[in-house]
Amino acid sequence: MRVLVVSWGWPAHYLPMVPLSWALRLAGHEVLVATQPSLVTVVRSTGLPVATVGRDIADIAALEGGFLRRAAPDGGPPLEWEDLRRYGARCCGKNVANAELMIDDLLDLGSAWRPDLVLYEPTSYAGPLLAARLGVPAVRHTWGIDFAYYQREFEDEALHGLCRRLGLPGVETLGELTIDPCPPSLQVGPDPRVPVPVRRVAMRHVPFNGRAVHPPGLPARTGRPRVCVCWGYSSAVWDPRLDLGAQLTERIADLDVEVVLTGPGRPPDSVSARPNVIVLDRTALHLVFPDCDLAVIHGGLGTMLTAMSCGLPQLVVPQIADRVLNARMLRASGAGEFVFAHECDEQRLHGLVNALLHEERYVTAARRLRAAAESLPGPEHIAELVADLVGHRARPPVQDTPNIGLIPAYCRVTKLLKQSNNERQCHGVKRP
Amino acid sequence: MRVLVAVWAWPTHFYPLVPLSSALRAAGHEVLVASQPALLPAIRRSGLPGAVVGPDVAGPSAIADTVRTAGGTSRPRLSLSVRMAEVMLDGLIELGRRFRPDVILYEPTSYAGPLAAAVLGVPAVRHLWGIDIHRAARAHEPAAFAGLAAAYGVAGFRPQGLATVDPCPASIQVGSDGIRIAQRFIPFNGSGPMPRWLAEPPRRRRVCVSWGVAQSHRTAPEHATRLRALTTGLLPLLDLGVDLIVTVAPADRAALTGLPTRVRLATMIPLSLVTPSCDLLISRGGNGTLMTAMVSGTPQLLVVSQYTEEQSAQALAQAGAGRMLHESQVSPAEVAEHAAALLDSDDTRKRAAELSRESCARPAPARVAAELEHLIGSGVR
Repeated sequence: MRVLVVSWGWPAHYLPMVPLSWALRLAGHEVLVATQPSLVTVVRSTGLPVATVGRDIADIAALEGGFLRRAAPDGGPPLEWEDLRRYGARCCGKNVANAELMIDDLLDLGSAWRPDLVLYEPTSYAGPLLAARLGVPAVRHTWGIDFAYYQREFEDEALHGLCRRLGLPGVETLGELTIDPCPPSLQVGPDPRVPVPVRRVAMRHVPFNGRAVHPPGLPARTGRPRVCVCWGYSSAVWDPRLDLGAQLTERIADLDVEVVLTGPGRPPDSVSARPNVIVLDRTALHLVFPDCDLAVIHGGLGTMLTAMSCGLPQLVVPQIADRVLNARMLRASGAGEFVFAHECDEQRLHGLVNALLHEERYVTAARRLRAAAESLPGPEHIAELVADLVGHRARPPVQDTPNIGLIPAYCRVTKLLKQSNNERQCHGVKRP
Repeated sequence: MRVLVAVWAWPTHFYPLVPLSSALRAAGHEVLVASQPALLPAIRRSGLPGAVVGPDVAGPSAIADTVRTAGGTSRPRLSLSVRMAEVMLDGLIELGRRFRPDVILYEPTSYAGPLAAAVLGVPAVRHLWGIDIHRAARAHEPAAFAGLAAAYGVAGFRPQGLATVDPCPASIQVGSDGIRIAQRFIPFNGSGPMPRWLAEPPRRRRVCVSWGVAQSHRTAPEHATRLRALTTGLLPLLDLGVDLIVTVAPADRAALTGLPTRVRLATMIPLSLVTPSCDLLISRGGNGTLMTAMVSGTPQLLVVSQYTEEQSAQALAQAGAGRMLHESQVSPAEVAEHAAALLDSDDTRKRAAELSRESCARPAPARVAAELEHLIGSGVR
């Protein structure tokens, strides 16, 4: 079958879909990524073919940076969903703007290429809009903890105009199925204000941030605990002042630890010159985290779930609403703590770092979380499930080339997956 | 399981290993691709983690000198493979000591793989590209690698490894040895843009001419001139209601200007996006090209000039899915005549479709990843 993967031009939204997109391709399906021009280079670095649709949103840094200054005031806690709700459909403004920029080209591409299925990240409304126009299944792929789910409360209203223009009575932005690359224990529960149920399937997280060159440049361990500070990619693009990496590194380095700072920005010499600070060029985090004892992060999901997959306790300093949610979910799992920047004084920071490094319960919870993630079906099994939605399989059911032996575990997992999909992980909705 | 992938720096040797490596990674295993510096950009574009071992040996033209022509002497030489193993081996062993692989996966000409595996005491698994064109070289392996094996204290060197992953359908595979793990072939020729015209269903029959980027390295600069001559010779096909797509390297575009609009130049588009909409592929029989068109069930006209490509073209032609010509024996006009005949051949189309079905019925890389884990006998770490 043909799968069109739709993402607006933002790496952190696209990269979580790469493992499943590859798994679909490895199962023999044709996969094509459709995105705005600015993401084409990133998509090409992931080995998948790409079609450009629409234009980039003008000056994302100004747009998002301006919003963030309002949503994350200095000296106070960042606004959370309960605060943002009062903006109503305006919460979805950027997503609607991107959908408008992408949809005409995407419809044109879709009516020519005729995908059997559309896979999309939650804020790329052009994906489900295209699927609705073509009458094919839409599968939503989250980045993990599903902040975007809450916005569903206002999406009917936000997309009213676009639907009317496209001649659609409406569009289900939650799709037929939502794939979560995180354990159900980290996922948000149903919100009564969201008018429709979401049908979730959890998938094993496969860390993917591209740019992986081994070795990552870490020196040998000295015996002291090692803390990795990472501030992701997005924050610094929106507003360099959001990047707290260097500042936190400097303060944590006062403790008897080694601090590894992985970017995004270069720290001042006063930080990089300290004997217990190691500054790395931006690199794939799954190569760095296994050699560390604690991750101090901004709470973006690419970083948080990679640390989860490496079984690492985490300290989150969240600055915007979705990351506060991520931080709360992580703390609830026991695998980490969080602190707001304006409350993160010396004493608090050092206390939290010491506790996370030395209290056994954090490591135990982090390993439990990793085990929960690893027990989930991998992308290869989810690819089968997604293909079943379309109703035909790329691989014929009968194998005519017997190999050295069938793998019983494989059959078991597939069966389990089908069971759990029917019973446990979907919130009681049957496909019409 | 930790999997070290060993390949010397040549993209078309690396690409066939990408699907299984990606499947292993998706299944939760740690995968690291080790090669010389020149391959690092291609590794990073595949989305897999990479590491550098050893220095690069020489430019593409020096490598080209060691490639023999079709119909020449029948004894394959392994000097290039020995040289690559020599320069990679120390680095690969050192990397292996740090990475501690449970298995080394390697392509058939990267002998540093099984040698390092023997030194490290871990199993090695060979991954074929497709049709096993290196079969004839096997007899010469013990002699060619005796010195290197002795220098590293490897007794009873087994260049064929513990098992062989075979992505080629049985009906075009040449011979078999040891434990074979069957896999379906998943085309990967790097990422690239899908132009809008390619997304649309074709209005007329399509013939694709793919003269291969690796070929372009070997034969530059006369490559572009030959491609122009061939394309010009194929123009009569336009009168049969056929559109031509010619894949060209960016550097060769200039040589192909001024052709009719129904001749499309496709630059850096992954071939797997092109062949499904084509009624015929004309190529020089390079492995990636041949296997990609095989998977999409596209009939093939293979115009070969090199010994190795002759082997695979012959296998495909014998299966009835295409026809083989020798480049030195046909003019472009004759290629056009053969192409016209193949376009009219229901039998070739039928055989090509059967071959595609046979290939797609083989186990997917995800299943092979599970079998490999089973074979190596180690749990997911």
